[in-house]
Amino acid sequence: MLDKGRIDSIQLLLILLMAELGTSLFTVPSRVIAAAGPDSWISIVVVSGVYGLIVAWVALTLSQRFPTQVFTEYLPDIIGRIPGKILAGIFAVVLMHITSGVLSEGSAFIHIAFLRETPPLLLNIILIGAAFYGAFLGIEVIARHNLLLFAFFSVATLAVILLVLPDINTENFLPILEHGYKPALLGGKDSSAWRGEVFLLIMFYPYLKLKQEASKAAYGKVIVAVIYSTIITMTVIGVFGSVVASTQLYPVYRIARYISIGQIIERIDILIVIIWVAGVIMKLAIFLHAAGIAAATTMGVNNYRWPLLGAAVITTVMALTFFGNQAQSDYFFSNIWPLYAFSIELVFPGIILLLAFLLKKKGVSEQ
Amino acid sequence: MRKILRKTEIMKMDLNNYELENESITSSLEENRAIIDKMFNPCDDMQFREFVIGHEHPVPAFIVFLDPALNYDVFQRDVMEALLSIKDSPPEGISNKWLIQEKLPMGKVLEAQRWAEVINKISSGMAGLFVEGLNSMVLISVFENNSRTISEPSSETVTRGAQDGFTEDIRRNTALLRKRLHTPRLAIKQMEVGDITRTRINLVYLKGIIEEDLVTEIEERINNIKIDGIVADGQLEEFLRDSPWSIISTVDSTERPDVLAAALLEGRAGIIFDNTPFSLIVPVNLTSLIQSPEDYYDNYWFSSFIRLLRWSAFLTSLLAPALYIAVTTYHQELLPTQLLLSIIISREKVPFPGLVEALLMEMSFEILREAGVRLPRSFGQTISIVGAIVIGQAAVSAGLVSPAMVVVVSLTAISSFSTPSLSLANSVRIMRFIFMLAAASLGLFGIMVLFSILMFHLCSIRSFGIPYLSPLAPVSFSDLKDTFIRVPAWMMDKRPRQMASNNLQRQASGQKPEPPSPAGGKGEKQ
Repeated sequence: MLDKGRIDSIQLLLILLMAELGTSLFTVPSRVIAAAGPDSWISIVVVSGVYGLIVAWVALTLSQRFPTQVFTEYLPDIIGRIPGKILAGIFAVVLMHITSGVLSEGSAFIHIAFLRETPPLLLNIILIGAAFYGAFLGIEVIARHNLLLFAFFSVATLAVILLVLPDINTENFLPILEHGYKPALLGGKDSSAWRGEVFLLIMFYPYLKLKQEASKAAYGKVIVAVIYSTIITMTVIGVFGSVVASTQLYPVYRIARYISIGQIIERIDILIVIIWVAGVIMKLAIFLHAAGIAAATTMGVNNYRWPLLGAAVITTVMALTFFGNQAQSDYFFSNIWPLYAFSIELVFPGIILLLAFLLKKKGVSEQ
Repeated sequence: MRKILRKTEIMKMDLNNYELENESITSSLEENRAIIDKMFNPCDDMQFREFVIGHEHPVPAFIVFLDPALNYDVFQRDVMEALLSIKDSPPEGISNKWLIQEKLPMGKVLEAQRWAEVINKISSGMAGLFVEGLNSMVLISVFENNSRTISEPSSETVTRGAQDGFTEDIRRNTALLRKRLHTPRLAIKQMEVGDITRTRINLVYLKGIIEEDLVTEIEERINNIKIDGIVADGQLEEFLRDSPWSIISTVDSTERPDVLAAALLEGRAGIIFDNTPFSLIVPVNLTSLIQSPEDYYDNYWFSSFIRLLRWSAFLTSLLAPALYIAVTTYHQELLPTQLLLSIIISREKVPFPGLVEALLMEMSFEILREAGVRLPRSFGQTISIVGAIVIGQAAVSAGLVSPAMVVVVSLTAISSFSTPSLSLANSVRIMRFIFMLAAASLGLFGIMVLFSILMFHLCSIRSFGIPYLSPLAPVSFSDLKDTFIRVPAWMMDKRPRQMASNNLQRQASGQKPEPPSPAGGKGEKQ
């Protein structure tokens, strides 16, 4: 293993959780609502919940066969050296591609809501620089910072929800299943793509101290993420109604702007911006760490810091090339991302797991 | 290999007695005196007192000592008189053992043979007794204690609490510690650092509470220091740190014996120095640097309140000017309209952008503060007048800065003084400027990115293996009882898990005091 750090199951759970919530909590609700309307909670709880648990099961079962290695290390052992290395390389590039998507999402929000005159490239470089520093310091540092961030993150979102509670109109939650099951299932595809990011477990499993607690982290992450996004999505629907909410790019930010209590507590949208920036940096650091490790193990070098730097640079370039403008990135996240995520999160590890099972490949256990 | 080379180089540099280091003294009085003469030349504060021992068969002898270090009263009464009143030598002849056991009424007397030790001890102020015909000599401790008396620590004052502080004398400091910890568990390990200064350093800790690995680690680090001399504890601190390049110091220093004693009870170690009233505490974490000794003297409600206040002051001192710059430059919409209007009006005449204004004020405050420390005490009044009137009031009426800026700078200044740890407060002083630059270039976004980087950094540094942000990250819930708030003393049953995992129980649990039952019997639990 290239990173010598060790984390416990709670830290792993929170890493996997922040790897999703860092952006999904703010961008996904409107996509789900657009498809499912007031039935969004069904999409999230049933569809994305079940999907997330399946992905978690696949990632967990695969990791448990190779407890001391990350995915890209044991891939060549399963399907042969040359194809294994090629697939591992592609997997590393895919991780960088996802990271660049996160990066463009992150800087787009700051660009729109905050610093309109700053070029997105500069924002990208600064964000990726901060994330690179975190990933460079290793998984233990990410885990520690992540814990503090998660506490702040939860308090901030909770505060926003509590403050907006009086404005929630329960009629917005009705009617249930007005158009049958189809919209609810369709809405699930957006939510699921993010829920499935629990697949990162295959890149973080070896760092876990007590391997028998891995299932707690994997399934726990999916459940907590479902709870979080259900609450947030339903709050958005409750305040704006599903029609208005579906048109908004960052509904949670809108909600926070909406809050005004006694002219004392107002303009707390800044709170959302703060957790957005911190959350995006953390999410980037986690993905970048995975991408850097994937690249380093594919190349077979014994220090992941240089590959990490390479990954950071490639990510920045990719963010400009593939997500250069809002329309591009919007198209990607609404039309391509759900299927793309499905194949990377579930299909690919699933096939590898099947192969490992059929070929009876197993890694060495820890002792 | 490199270490050994460095060691010998320093030795060669050290005086001209290199060849003699391992040799023993000779039995000839003349020869010994010549060697001392040669070695301490020129050394005009050195005195030789020659005399004879015994009346019937007089044996020549001399005592050599360094003049300023000598307590003459004790020397005359207990050394010279004792030696000169010897009538007769014993039948088997004079021996140092006989002199020590029967003739010298002194507490600290020892016999020595090697020149290395002899030279060492004489330079540190002991008197040396040489007798003709003996190939060993006697070292007698007759120090004049020139250090100042115990006084109130000037850098860490408290209103309620012990008022004694460490002094420059290492023995007095360990005595102050012993006074608080009456136990054979209190271990004091003496080491010497510096080939020329041979500064005495005492490593103190409580056996059975501290982790043994930590002790060996500290000892190893101190013993690995090869240096000609140490005059300031900061030098040692920089040799001992885990993250040598970090802006944040991972070693705490204190002037107060009660703070050191409390730290030892938590499983930390202390490093006491000769010649400085500050002793070091390792390992430290951020939460312990925000604690003040007074927290434990005061009511816990009050202490918790003050602690929360101190944490917010800590953040204020770090971020306030940066936030002011960010808000006035980029994010005016964040302020309530009334406040925004009054700030805009007050900034109307100011010709500079927010950053220049803030830098101007912050720099002048830092200069004022530095000058206040350097100036002779009698000028203190002048400085405060200059500071208050010229920089505060006149700058505003001249239209150089806005009144709002003056408020922000003063708030920052006051907040920064409320951080109990001087080294932490100083790190914050530097970081504040970096945050201001980030705010000026990228607004709140810059502040938040920088804060994220700072958090990553804080999470990564360690102090002797203990994560700097513990018990917050990695979290240890039972240790949170003494961080942002302080729970009552009867609830602090456990020592910090990171420091003393092998001996966790600090006190019996369930000691919550209860009033006697109304029936008049002994207070039984309901």
